[in-house]
Amino acid sequence: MKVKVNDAELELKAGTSAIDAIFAAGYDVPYFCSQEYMSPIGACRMCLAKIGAPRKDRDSGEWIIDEQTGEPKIFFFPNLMASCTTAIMEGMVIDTLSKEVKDAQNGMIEFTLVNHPLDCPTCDKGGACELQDRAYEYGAGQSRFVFDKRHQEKHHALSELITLDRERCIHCKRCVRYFEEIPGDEVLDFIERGVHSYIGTLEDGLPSNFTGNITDFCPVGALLDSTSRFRGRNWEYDHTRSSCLDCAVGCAITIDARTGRIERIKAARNTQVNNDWICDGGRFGHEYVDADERLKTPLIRRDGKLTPSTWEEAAAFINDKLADLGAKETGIILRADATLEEGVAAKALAAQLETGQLDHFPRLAASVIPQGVRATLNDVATSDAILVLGDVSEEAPIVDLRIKEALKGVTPPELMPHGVPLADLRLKERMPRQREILTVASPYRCDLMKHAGSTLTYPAGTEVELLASLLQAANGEGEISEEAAMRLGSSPEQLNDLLKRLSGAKNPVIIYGAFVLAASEASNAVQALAKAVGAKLLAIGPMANSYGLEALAVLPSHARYSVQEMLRGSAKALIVSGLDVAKDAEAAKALKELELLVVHDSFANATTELAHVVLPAKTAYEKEGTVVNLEGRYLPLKPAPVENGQSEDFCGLVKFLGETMGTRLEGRSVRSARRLLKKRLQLDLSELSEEGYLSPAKAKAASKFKLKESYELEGNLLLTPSMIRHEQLSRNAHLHAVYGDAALRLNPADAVAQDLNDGDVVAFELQGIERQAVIKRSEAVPVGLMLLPALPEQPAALLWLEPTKLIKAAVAEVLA
Amino acid sequence: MIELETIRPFFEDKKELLAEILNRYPDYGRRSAVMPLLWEVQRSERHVSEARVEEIAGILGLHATEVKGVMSFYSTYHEQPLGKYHLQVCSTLSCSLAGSDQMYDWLVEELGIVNGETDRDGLFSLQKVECLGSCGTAPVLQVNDVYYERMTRSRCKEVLAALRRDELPEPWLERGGDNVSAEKAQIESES
Amino acid sequence: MSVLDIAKGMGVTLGHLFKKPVTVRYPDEPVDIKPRFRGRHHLLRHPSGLEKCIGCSLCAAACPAYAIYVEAAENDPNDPTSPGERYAKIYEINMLRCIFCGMCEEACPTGAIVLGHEFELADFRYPDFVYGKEDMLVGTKGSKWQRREAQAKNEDVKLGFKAGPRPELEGVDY
Repeated sequence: MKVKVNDAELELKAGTSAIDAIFAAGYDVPYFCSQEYMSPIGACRMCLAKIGAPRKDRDSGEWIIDEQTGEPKIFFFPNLMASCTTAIMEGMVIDTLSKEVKDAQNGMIEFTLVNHPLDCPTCDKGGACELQDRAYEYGAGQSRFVFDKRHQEKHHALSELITLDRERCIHCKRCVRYFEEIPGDEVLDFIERGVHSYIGTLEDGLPSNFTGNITDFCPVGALLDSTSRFRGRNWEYDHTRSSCLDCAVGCAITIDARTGRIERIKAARNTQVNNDWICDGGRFGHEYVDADERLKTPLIRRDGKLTPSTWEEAAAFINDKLADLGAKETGIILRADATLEEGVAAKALAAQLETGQLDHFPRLAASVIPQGVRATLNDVATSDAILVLGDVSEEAPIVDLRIKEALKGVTPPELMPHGVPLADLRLKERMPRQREILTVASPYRCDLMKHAGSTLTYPAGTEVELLASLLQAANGEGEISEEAAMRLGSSPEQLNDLLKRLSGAKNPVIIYGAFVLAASEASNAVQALAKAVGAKLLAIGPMANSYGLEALAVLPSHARYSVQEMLRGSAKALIVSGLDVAKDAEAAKALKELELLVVHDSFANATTELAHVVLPAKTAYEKEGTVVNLEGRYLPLKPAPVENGQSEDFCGLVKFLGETMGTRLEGRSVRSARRLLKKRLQLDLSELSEEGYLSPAKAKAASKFKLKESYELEGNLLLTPSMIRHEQLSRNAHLHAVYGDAALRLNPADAVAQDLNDGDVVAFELQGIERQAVIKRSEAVPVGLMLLPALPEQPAALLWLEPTKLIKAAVAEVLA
Repeated sequence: MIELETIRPFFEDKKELLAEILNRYPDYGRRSAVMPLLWEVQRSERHVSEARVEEIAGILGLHATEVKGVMSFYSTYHEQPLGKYHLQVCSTLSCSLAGSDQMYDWLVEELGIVNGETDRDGLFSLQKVECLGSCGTAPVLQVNDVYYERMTRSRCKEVLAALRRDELPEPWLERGGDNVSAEKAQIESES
Repeated sequence: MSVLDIAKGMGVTLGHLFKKPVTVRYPDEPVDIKPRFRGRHHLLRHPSGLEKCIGCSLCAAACPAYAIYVEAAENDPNDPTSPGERYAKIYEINMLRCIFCGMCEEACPTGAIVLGHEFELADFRYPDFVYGKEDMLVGTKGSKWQRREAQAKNEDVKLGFKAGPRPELEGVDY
């Protein structure tokens, strides 16, 4: 459609909003309530413009012609229109520069400021405040309002993480709409009306995993991140755009650091991955980085004590010890969120040491690279039939949001010259959701089930059976029997419906996580099922770079060299990066026998207790590098300026070791690793765009995926992935206040049987690892099952735990 | 151990009424029933407590916050129990010019309660409200659902005295404008 | 040029011989400073005793020499340091960097920071040039070195100047 904005004529698609036409033409109008990815509602009345269009004669169907000019006559609307809620029409004329419009903008700013407290100097939003900017650009600079302003609560804690200043609120309704439209939990609403109205909730805190986003887009300082309260002004922060490494999604984030501390993390935009949203785990999970007990210097054990040293000394010490060892005797273990560059470095080091004992962990039984057509996150958002196996809301929270995007039935917006459309007129408040397209299957009732048309709570460990019977039916090799369906907590109708929906859909997607990946049979079955119904696959790996490290083959040369074996004595010397492997009592015993134990970590832990050399490691926020997310997308990591002493990433470790060995190893620096990767991938990672790069070819799973055997498929305790890092909660006061300690969730009936009450602290041993948890009774857990958050050292799995072995901590202390 | 008094759900023994209200709306518009449900509670309990808000939210599958948002928007729903007679003084422009502020002050003095309060006996509640839509006959005092128009001090006294005797006096119709004669004619014809 | 002209000129010189000199025997005698002279900063308090500074960091933003560092924190409502929610937990000015331009004073929304008259800031070690809150709050007289010196000699701080009053310097007493 032809549209004229002031003097610019442009051709836009029907359905575009007038505000987007204005921005596409390079002009600007102020706005507060419009927000990308959310419905336009015209609440703030700031984007007023003079809008007119030609009209057709009703009888003749011809354009009504202006007699003076001979052109179609423009009929202007009698009032100025909110451009965000006005769709463009053929020949529309939009005027944003006339005095009438300027006066209206001026007046609206004055009106908005009538009840705004103007405490900008003390407001954390100051300097990044939309109201401040617009008042400066479009306001008169003076107010005629001389009366008392509205007084309301100044610091109302909406939750432990978010502070609400009700005086500053300008009622744009972004936060209220956000909760209804994006995560789909309407936990915030306007209370009262008119000038008395305020944002409030009746829920306890904000029961959502995506609350922090409202602090990002609040146009004023009404909603603020409590964790960074008064920590710095917006212009004082160093803003670093990087990727989040808390889960396999790799959301774009902006790390705001000041004087060597990370003060807050905000969501950044990646239209392919996370749109504008990140989860609370990713946003608030950074606090451990600045903990006082951070390791900042290399330590060498001398006379039984770890003494501060330098990297050169430590490298020489390690080299001395390694020189005594033969080939194949050294093991290297990386954490699965190490970057690709670190993976290259580890491989180079392994090659130098002539050892095949190289692995990354946590790594599950099956490959995280699906054999079949991979789905991207945008495929998920545009899918018309989704099957979810597992608890994605905890495992990869943004996938949860992208699924909810698909339920709206609106495809991700097409980008305009100015980026994501400010007002996507296809989006509405309280849109009807196509819940029927979503089926969620999980061993326990998970959050996403509230939004699913069909839900299935199967007994834990029956993934293989479930997928096998689905596959059988899909291939027409046999009906699903009543009995089999019953055993899976389902019915033949439900399973047949699911199959029909998947095979009948245009763009079906199957999303599966740790519970399927934990068993290779289940993983094979899901891939076969996808092939049978023509679905795309999205596998959620256990950690941020599981995909990349597997594709790079940071893997043992033989099954007898896997992490589990290295920790059971296959190696005589070990270099462990980022994992507290000595948590496992049996592994600790083997570690004591080692000739050399080098631990590369950010904090002291059980493993550093046993280490001969401790090397300070950079955290995910300080590294430069690349990770590959669950879609197979290369995403860049940029280092934030954090005070970390002499911390180095694994590349740094390899550099120092190589120097003492007298060789120049590949991967001695990020640059050198990238040179190698460029040859291999035909891709220059130093020029990676912010949106990342989706690897085109069907990435092959590592041909020889070495792991001894599959995990058990029976048990009564399920280790579940979780959004927050439980292992860091002791160093994260804010998240700890909200989420508490790791919880052992079980059905109230089981809890009664074991005489366990909510809040009881229990201690127990699990696969040799001492765990402590708080009892939480939950109806979501089926009878006979217990749920416990997984740890990096103890990834998702199904285990046996005799309930009688749960010892209440108080009792345990007495026993000790 | 003290047994806490459990609040019986309001709609527990009103299944038919509930079904009737819910039946008025299609399935996808279930949330529309929030208004009539709130009104049922308000009418019978003279206020809507937080427990009732949660109950209604549960019935409609909404969050309590949303129900609260609707409820607090309308001045007809109250968080605190109202007195038997709810005196609502219009305080918008026309009534204000015609002396509703003095009427309010007089009522405050007479009843010993201020805006939003209920007296000790639970007989009167006083509230300043926005326009009641009867500007032509300002000032207006609304008692429960009845309008008393063109209030003067003596009329105020009269109304209050009657209410204290527990009688709701007949409203006098003094609608201004065009329909006065029509209304009169109607009343006359009815009588 | 006549002899007379020379005599005239010499007369001027001669005349000055008997005038009071403009130079001062500093540091034995105090120098006279104009009221608007910009010297060392003072952090002022409200008459109630609360600090005027709210830790907004606008002075640091305005500072062309990046001499100011502010770290704010939340007031304890029962024992506030400043009015409102926010106060400056750390307030530092590096006097070596400061160019005494007075931009901080202009930027301050509460009139908390004012450049006073003290100019004797010479010292020996780098850290001693970084003035903290306690060095600049109203009631503190003299530079760090002057105060150290006075304490060692057990006498009052002696300032080497006198100046007229300046209304912005509320509560500052030289």
